[in-house]
Amino acid sequence: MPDFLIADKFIVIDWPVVVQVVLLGFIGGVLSGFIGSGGAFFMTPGMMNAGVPGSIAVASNITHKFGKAMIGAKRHGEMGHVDKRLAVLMLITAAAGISLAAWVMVLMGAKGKGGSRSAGADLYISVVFVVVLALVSLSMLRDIIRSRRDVEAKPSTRIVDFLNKLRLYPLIHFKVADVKVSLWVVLVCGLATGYLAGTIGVGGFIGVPAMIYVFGIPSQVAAGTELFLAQFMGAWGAMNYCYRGMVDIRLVLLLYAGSLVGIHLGAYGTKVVREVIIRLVTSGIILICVLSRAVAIPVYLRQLGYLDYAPSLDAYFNTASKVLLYASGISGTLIILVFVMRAYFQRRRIQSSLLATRGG
Amino acid sequence: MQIVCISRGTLAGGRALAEKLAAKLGYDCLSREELTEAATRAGIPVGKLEMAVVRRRPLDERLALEKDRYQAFVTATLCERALKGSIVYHGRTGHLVLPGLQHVLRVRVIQDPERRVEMVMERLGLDRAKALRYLEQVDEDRQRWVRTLYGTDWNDPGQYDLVVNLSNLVVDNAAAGLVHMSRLPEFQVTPVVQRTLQDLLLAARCRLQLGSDQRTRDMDVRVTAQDGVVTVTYLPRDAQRQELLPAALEGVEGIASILCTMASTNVLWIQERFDPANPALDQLIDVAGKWNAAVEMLQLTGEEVEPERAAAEPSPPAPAPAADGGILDDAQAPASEDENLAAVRQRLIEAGRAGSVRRVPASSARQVLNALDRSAPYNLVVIGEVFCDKNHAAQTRLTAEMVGMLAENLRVPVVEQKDLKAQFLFSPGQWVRMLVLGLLAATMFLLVFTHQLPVGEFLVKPGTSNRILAVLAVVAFVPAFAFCYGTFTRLLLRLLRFE
Amino acid sequence: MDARQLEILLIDDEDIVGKRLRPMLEKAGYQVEVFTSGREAIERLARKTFDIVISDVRIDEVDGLEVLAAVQQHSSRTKTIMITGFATLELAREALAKGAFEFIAKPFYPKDLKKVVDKAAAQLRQE
Repeated sequence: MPDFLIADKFIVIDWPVVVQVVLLGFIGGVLSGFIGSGGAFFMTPGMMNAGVPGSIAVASNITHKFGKAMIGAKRHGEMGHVDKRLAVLMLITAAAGISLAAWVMVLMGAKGKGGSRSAGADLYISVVFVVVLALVSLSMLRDIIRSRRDVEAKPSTRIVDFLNKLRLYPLIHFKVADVKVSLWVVLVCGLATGYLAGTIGVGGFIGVPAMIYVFGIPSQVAAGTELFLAQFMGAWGAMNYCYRGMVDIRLVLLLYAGSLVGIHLGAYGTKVVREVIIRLVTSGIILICVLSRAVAIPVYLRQLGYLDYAPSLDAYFNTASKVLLYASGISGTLIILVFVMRAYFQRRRIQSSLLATRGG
Repeated sequence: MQIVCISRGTLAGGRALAEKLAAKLGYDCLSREELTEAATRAGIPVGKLEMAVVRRRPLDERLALEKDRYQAFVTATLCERALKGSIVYHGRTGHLVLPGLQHVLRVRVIQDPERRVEMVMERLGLDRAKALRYLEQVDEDRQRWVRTLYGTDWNDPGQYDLVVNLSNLVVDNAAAGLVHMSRLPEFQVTPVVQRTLQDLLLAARCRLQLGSDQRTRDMDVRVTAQDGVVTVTYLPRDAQRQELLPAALEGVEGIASILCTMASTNVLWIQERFDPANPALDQLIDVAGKWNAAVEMLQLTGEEVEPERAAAEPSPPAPAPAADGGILDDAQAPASEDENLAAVRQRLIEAGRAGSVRRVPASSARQVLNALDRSAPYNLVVIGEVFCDKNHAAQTRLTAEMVGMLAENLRVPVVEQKDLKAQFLFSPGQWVRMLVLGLLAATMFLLVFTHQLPVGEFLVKPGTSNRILAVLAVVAFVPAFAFCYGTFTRLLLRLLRFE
Repeated sequence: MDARQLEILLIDDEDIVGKRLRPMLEKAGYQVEVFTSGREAIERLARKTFDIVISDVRIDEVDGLEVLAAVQQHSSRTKTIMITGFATLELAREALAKGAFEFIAKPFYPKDLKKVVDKAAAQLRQE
């Protein structure tokens, strides 16, 4: 591998980096196939841990997502799981959200006071990441714990009910999803989704729950519409970042190398694993990811001069962060793969049975 | 034995019409309210389902099971009543609860909107604004109800034989008109219909039994019956508990035999003649094996009743598969066809892929569609030999039309049997495709990594035109690579049977 | 509004409902009166204003909707919660259109009812 640096941004890609990024892609693929969205929540911090600057990691991730979403959206579209009307509306605001995110990112990067090239942006990404995903995974866990105790387990509909009562006109009827939602609510959700997608590359994680919890639409349509949305958002984000020269195409290809294999295995897993386990594994993985990113925050704070401690400690924080991240992704993927393999081998043994034959 | 189903909306006079019609015909009259009350008393929380619709929340796993139980209850009650004597049923979805029965007279009653508002204001004592809002919400809820339970659009007039508009028509006269209509041959009961009713009843009773048995009540199962052979399809996660199913069904009368099949997915196979020698059978078993799917067979038996004939003697019953329930006495099946179907089924059983078998008297795509249970989760529909009595060109055209229509309405992939191999199994063409795309992807990959420096410089080169060029290049390159490599991996994993 | 104890009138023709819900509501700090007859409840409502009324829909010769109407007549700020084992969407919409605070299908968990009651209480205290 040639040894070079471009514009102080593109890192040298040597074999350890290759292996790490491909593995990240694979794990991200398995997770996103299994969970139905995301995967980036693992790949973004993973790449940052592998030494890729945050903004490059996000940019490459979003570019990677865009191609992947195109394939997924095409399939969902064939099954009729895409509400185009909803998608178009959310798209408009999501595009604005992404531009906003990219702009803020550049602003934050510029703020870095010496030390590191991108500590400001990194800190900002990490904080948003920790806050948002902690909320997501905790509410998911709460849902599961509730469903254990309670027979009435289901996505909480408080928000849907509340908005239904409000009836903020104009209400729009989305035919495929079969819901009536206020235009304003759609626009706000679109903006938030776009902004988060642009910032931490995990729009799907916000978009899908938003559609299920806020709009009250069926989860399959939510996933399909999200993917449809994601291909354009991904494209828009990719173009934005690419224009700013942040997309490292090599990383994108390496991610694909792993993820496109993983995604099929993950999707296969959802067919053979129980719903509760799917959600449990998912929230567990996200939570550890969040911890991992939280551990890295002091490093950025020190680099920016907000925190004062011996620089030698950075290594410990970074190691801890790395260990946690890999622990979450690898253990999650292993669990999923165990399920997948067990089902794969079991499949051959299953026989339907003519059980009771009574005379007539 | 005759069944008239009236689908009505709030205060539109549908109830009055149904009662009048029942009186004129001398039939029993059964309302949705009576039915849901009986269901509630039988321990099915119908009110919870209703409130889930009012609250606009999707059904969770448990409520979805209650929904199945409720539907089974409705089907069982209607079939029971219909087997005893003719009935007029009126409710929201009377026309949908007995899918696959062609002789049901399905009527929708509508009313002038202004009149409805007045009636709501009068009966509920609401002011105009509240009445309007009430109607708007109730109509919305009902549509949602129909969609949640039956997956169709309530307002699609294609689901009814007749729409009666009471804006201009007096209830009494409307009832008189319906009396005439109900005498038409299309709506008379034949022995085939009667057997279908018995099968529906049996399946519904089994579903209810499984739903009320402590051991099996939380299992998500689908029950069908054909000539006393009960097929229970369960999900892979319940594989360990499948031996409980026949035990739970111990007390149900009329079961000739029980077939338990595991399926996470279902393949529907439609054709007129099933032939065990057809290579498509092996292909289908292969596909079903990969998807862990059960194959449900739907045999089209052509036009069941010709109107002239129905008025006179009942037609001879359609062929039945080799099952030996006492209730099959009147089945005198032509042996050849029967054996073939039974042989195909036997093969599927051996492969562990047998779903239920159904015969429907249908000779057009529309009729097939009407006969299908829209809420059943099919993942693939395979259309085999249909329209066999037509000449080749007409057959090709009609088959293609059927594919299109089913695909549009069921929203699942629909393929013709001959395309099965190309689309879902590994054909030589796919080998080539896989290798070519794999090579292409590898080339792109290598090119980027052997030219890292120029590629990197290209990506960050300043200047607006350079930037735009870089953007365009990335936006074109990334999906192309994703497509090549993605298709390659998908095919590779399909080859390895991860699907 | 001050923190005085809110008063609840509970009507259900089945004894067991009152027996199970009363301790739960009292523990939560409400004052509860239980009736099994709709007529008696309406008479009581004419004499005393309650903060919250919880009524079954099918009681006896007087039904829950009449109770709701009586409540509305006497005090518009009283919150009425309807409970029924025979919920239909038409009935629910009717009750809500007529001013019911909430409509709950039986079977439900006492804590579900408590949540709704608490919500009603919170609104009352805000008013």
